[in-house]
Formats: sequence, C-alpha cells, structure tokens
Amino acid sequence: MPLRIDASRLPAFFLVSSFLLGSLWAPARAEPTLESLGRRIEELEKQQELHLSEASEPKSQVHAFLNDNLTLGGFYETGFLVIDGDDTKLQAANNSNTLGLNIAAEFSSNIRFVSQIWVGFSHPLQNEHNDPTATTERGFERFNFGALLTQGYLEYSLGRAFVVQAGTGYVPFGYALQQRELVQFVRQAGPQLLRTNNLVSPLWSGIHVHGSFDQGKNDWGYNFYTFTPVFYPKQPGVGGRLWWSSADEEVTLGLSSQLGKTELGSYEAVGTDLRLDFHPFSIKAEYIRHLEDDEDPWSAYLEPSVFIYQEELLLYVFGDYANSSMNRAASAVTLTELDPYRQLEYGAGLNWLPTSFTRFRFGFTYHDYLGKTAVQEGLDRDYFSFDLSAGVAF
Amino acid sequence: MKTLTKTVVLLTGLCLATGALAQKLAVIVNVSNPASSITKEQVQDFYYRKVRQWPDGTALRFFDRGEDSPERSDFLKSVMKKTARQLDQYWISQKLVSGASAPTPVGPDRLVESLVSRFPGGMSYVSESFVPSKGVKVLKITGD
Repeated sequence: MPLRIDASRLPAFFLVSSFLLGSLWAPARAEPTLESLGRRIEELEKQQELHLSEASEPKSQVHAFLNDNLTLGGFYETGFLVIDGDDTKLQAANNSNTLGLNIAAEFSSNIRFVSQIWVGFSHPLQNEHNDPTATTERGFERFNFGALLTQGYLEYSLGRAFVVQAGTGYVPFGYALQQRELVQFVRQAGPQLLRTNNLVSPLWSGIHVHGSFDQGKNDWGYNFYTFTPVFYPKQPGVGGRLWWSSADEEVTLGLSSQLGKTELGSYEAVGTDLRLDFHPFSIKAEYIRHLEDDEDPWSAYLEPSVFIYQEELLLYVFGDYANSSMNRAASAVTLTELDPYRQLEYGAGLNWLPTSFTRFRFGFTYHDYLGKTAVQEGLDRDYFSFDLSAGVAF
Repeated sequence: MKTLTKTVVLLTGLCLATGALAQKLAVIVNVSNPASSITKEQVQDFYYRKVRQWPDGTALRFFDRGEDSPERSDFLKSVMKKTARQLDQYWISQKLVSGASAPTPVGPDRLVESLVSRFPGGMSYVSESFVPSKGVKVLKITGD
C-alpha cells in the first residue's frame, strides 16, 4: 500500500521525524562527552595527586613558599584604647600596631629551624601608673617604633621525650609568657604579668631542652633552659618547668621556676598555672612571684571565658592583680626612684571570631590601685579603659 | 513512671547510636608499616605532630581529610574530641610558637589511599567500610 501523506500534515510529519531522529542520535553524541568528562576528571585527580605528593615529598633542600618544608605565617594586631579617670584626662589613641612574621624550615623529621620577628609602631601609655614624681602625666606618647627578634632557634628532636633547641624563644614559664601571641589573647595585650617589671626574664637564650611523656591517658612534660638575666647579662640564669595535663588537655597544671643573677645578688622566680578547658567553658589562672632580698613583686590573674553562638562569640571576665614593688620604669620617662604600686584590674569583654583566624575584641577594664600608694601627693592613680582591637593570624 | 522509663531508654539508645556513629573510622597506613593496631592517644600524638616518627624511625606523614568530609567530622568528634575551631586555634598557636603546621587535607578516599601507599610513613583515616586495595592496610583504632 503506497504511503500517502497529506500536504497539510507535512510540517507535523517533519517535526515528529526530526524529534525521533534526534532521539536516535542523542546517545551516540552524549556517550563520547561523558567519556571525555570521565577522562578529564581522572586527569585532574592525577594532577591533584601529583601536586599533593610533591608538596609532601621530603626534600633535601629548602624550597620557598607553598611547600611543607618551609612554612610562612604570622599575625597582625591593631588596637584602639580610650582612657579616663579622676586624675587622668579623657583621651583615645590607636595605641598599637604589630606585625609578627614567622618562618620555619623543616630540614628533616627531626631537625628544624623556627623564627619570629615583631615589627610595629605604637603610642603607648606614658607614665602608665600616674607617678607624681614623673615629669609628664599619664597619656599616650607621640610615636614609638620597634622591631624585635622574639624567636630564632634550631631544633633537634630525639623523639617526643627529648627535644633540644639552640637560640632564643619565649620562656616556658606559665601559660601567657610562652603563648604570648597577641592574637591568641582574649583581652588586648594579655594579662598584667606580661607588663609587670622584674618578674621573670621573658626570653630563654642559649639552650632549651623539653620533652613529654604519656602516663596512661594523661601527659606530663618538662622544660629546662638557660637565659640571660635582664639586669645582669654577665652570667646566664637557668629555669625549668614541670607540667601535667589530663586526657584531651581538659586540665593542665604547671609549675615553673627561674634562677638568675642581679647587680646586687640573685633572684628566684616561682610560678604556677592552671587551665581548665571544658569546651565551651574555659578558665585560665596564673601566679608568678619574684623573690629578691626583701622584695617580692608578684602577679596573679583569673580569666573565665565561654564560647557562644556557634563558637563565633567569646565572653570573658577577669580579675588581675599585680604587686609591683620594684617598679621603676614608666615608659619613656626615666625614674630614678622606686615607684611601687599595687593594682587590681578587673573587667569584661567580648571577642568576635567570624573565622578561626580573625578576632575582633571589645573590652572594659577598671584599673583599681590599692594600698598606701594608690594616691600619691593628691594624685589618684585609678582610671578606666575601653579597648577595641582586631587581630588576624595567617 | 512509664514515660520516664521510655525517656531513659530513648536517651540511652540515642547515646549508643551517637557513640556507634563516632566509632566508624579506621586508620590506613602504608602496607610496609609493621603496626597492627593503634590507640586513640597515638593517633592524637601523630595528628598534633607531637610524635613525628614511627617507632622504627620512619618519618610520619599524616594526611588529614577535607574540611567538610563526614570522615573528618567523625574523626574530630570521636578521636580528637575537639571542634574544628578548637583545632584551628591549636594550629594557629603551633604555627606562631613552634612553626608546626596542620597536616595536609586530602579529599577523596582513592587519593588518600594513593598518597599513603606512596610514603612508607604515610597515614590517614577512612570510614570503617573502606576496602583497601594494594599499597595500604587498615589499622583499627583501639581504646575508648
């Protein structure tokens, strides 16, 4: 029977025919596309594997950047401080801008080099403790610039129990002194013991030996180091630390000590530190006492904090005491006489961490001077401060 | 009383289920590695780079998993017992103080397996259902 097609139905016939033909051809066209996509994915995976293995491959020499054997990191911190008080003029300044640069090179699994440099400029508080014998009143200085090598050591590890370092680095005394990275502190500039004169030598220099051991699920460790006393650089001092931490570092307890010479004799510094970390709650507490002749300046603080709102916000309160009986210096002002003070700082604040590596802080501190030297020659030392700061680690 | 019993049973079941979920991980190491099992404490020490060598002196290469992978989520919860933020803070501190950096994150299982097989001291973690091919072997994580 001959095929008859009505002319009026021709457009519909062509439409259906082209759809059917298209359907027949479609798999043939799609198949090579999927295959090539698969090949492309494999290619990309191989490239990724190659890059990762290159990055992980042990090298006999140091290569620059983007290589596991050389790490570059650091931090930047900027702060804004407002102060006011009965005998302190209301003033505000961008008081600190600090850039820290870290470079570490791993030469083998047991030899590496670690370094850190701080550079920055600031407008620090002049005559911070409002000493009436000083030539200037409490206030922000014009401009200060500084650069400091805070770490630089070559490390050789004989395993976890024995690591020896030669060079200089943060002194392993308590918690804040050895973790003195500005961006790590929940309050701007950290606790008072970092700013109290004559407590401990802040850097070890020469040799530092440390190690740690398992004790069931707990750990304990030791540090032993030499250092150059700040006021008597002619004979090295020695220091040590013993610490213990429970499983998952929920409780960490440390005991530290330092022995060094001074112009007139010798001193001993002792300290203890406690950290409780039951996420999201944590408490840090530290105590340091410096023993020298009849003087014994000391400082202690307690700082509970809690993370809220998906760990983006951290609320803290603190109490921080310093009995600085050997204080002499007040920033750029040269004081020849002792200016002892006892200060209780207390306050609260908020950290906002939009990412793990960025931190914005807002804090309030009342600086309450106590004892006979709280008011000197009619000048009240008390004041309060608001701080705003931002820090980034990279 | 019945409601209380039901609630207790339900909560216990939920806790057990959560615990079981968090235990579904295994460690993979290079096939030449003589170890047959590993404790959580050892894995933690290796991950934190407190220990950088296997007992026979082979340099350790720990490969982490991708940030959003279910394996990493389980690993942080059941082995490290830390949140991702806590670990980030730990590595910031380590990088600034001791120069140590976090283990390299690696995505798919096949890629992890390939890298671990390439390095004698290679190590990573996979889901317990992972079937290894040549080059790697699975170590069960022992301990709580």
